Amino acid sequence: MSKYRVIFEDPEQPEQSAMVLVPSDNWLEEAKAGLLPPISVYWALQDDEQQAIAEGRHATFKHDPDKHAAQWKAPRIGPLTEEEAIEYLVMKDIPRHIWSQEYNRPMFKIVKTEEVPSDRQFRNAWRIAA
Amino acid sequence: MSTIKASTIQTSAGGAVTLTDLYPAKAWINWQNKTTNVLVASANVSSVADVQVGVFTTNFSTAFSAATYLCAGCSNTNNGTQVPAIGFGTSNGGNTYTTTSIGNAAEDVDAGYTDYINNTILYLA
Repeated sequence: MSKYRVIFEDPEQPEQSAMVLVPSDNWLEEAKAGLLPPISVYWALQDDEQQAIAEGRHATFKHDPDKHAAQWKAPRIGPLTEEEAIEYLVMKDIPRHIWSQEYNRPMFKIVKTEEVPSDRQFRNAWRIAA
Repeated sequence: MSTIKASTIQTSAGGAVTLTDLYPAKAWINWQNKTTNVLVASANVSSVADVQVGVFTTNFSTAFSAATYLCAGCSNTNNGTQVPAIGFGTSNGGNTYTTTSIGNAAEDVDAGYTDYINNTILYLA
């Protein structure tokens, strides 16, 4: 199990509680084995899909076959440490506006697993501590 | 009868193979959010985000080619009672449905969104 979790909030949804990203053990093993494609492969897919959503054609949207195949055909980036893999995961799985822009307080934090509360009391009111 | 032994099976172009008349799950999760968050087991999933009580987002390792896949699953309470109440496209943060991620919600008909000891979900295309 990963030593880390990522806590994040969405500034576009201020009423939303803080979210907790839990990495997959299988995915972490792939990252450590050097099996991941460049992060740009995922960004290209996300960009195309977001454009389709914005243009109202998501219901019939299909990825460009070459861009989709790049997920397994693009050259691998090589082995990552667990810390590097978590940074990669932030850029892959957390919406880009959360980590790519500066806000007046942190919108995400990488924390040790044991730092996440061990009970779920007031779960819907969790916030990132200052 | 022949035996095929291989570590990886791909198409001649290096992509995912098509299995004629077979429709395996493209991804699945066994997710616990009753106490602490634990991704107990999964396939083709890079992470799961705990959004709020009963609501979580699954992020796929390899994106689907189109957002036309289905999800099916059930949740399991502490006493083993099966509650077939996994949904998606819900409000309150579980409203994602893209090729790279999907919002899921586990709902009790009486108590609303609920954290369960196990949420097991298949994603099929």
